[in-house]
Amino acid sequence: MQDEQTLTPAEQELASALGGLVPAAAGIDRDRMMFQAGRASARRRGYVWQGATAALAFALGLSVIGLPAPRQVERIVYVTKEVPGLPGEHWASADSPRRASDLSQVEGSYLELRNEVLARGLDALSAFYARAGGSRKTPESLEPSGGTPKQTPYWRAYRGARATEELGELL
Amino acid sequence: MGQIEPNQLSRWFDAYGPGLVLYARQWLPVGSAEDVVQDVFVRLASQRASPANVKAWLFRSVRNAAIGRLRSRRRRARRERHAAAAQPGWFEHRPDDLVDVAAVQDALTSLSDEQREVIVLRLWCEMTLQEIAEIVGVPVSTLFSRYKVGLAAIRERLELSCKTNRP
Repeated sequence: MQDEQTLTPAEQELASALGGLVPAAAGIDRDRMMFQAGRASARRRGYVWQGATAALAFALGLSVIGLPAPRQVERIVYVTKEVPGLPGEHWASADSPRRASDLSQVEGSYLELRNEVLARGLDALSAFYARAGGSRKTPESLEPSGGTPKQTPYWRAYRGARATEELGELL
Repeated sequence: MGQIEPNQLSRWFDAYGPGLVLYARQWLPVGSAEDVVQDVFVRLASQRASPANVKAWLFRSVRNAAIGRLRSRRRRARRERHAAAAQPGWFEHRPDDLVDVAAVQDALTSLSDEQREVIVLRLWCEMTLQEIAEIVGVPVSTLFSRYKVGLAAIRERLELSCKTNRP
């Protein structure tokens, strides 16, 4: 060492002899010291959490105070009110008056028509419209003129398509 | 620097504990010196991160705490000095020691605080004069001067002791 080099040999010898002495062992209870050190360390961590929680609570309070008052908006809302009426008409809404009037002319319900079509085939449609008063065109009336149509496959397909269209309109 | 682990703290206690107590005893009786050292280790454990130079931090903390406690107990100094006379020695008694332990302790107590401080830190705490300068806050040249004067005073005291004890 630098300071040792500048000492005289006598001083170095004395320093070496003195340095050979061993300090008395510390009478500190190691376990007690480690326990207190651990407790102090945990206390510091507790302070960290407490501080973070307090800071977050403070920030939350500030944000709540600084929030603008909720803006009041007036808005007109249309609510559809169900009007009590005849059974079977409750599904007819006010925005489809045409369909409601058409259906009111039909005796029986859709279910009745469906059951007839299922039981008798597409021929039931003609009878159904005839009973309804003939206000709508029957499938036959849509056929090309010229007497009784021939029951060709083309004619059957055409008639089936028209019947499906009619059913779609009804629905 | 990360959190201080218990194993690390234990190693530092083994390495520096006796030297720190010896250092604190330059100002305080043994009981108070041990209390100071223990408090410093507890304070070290509560640090957010390990100091850059743990050894220097420990000795500086012990020095400040010991001097602070000495000032607060100044009025009881006489009583404590009297009590310190009956205290256990500063060094272990070993048969292969080249010098008489009691004579060395007596010679050390006869030195000024400044001389004794640098000699204790240099010889028994294995610190360089540069490290001591950082703790004490005094230039290295001043410390070296105190060190040489202190060694000369100890030599003189030990020679006197030898002459006195010679039959």
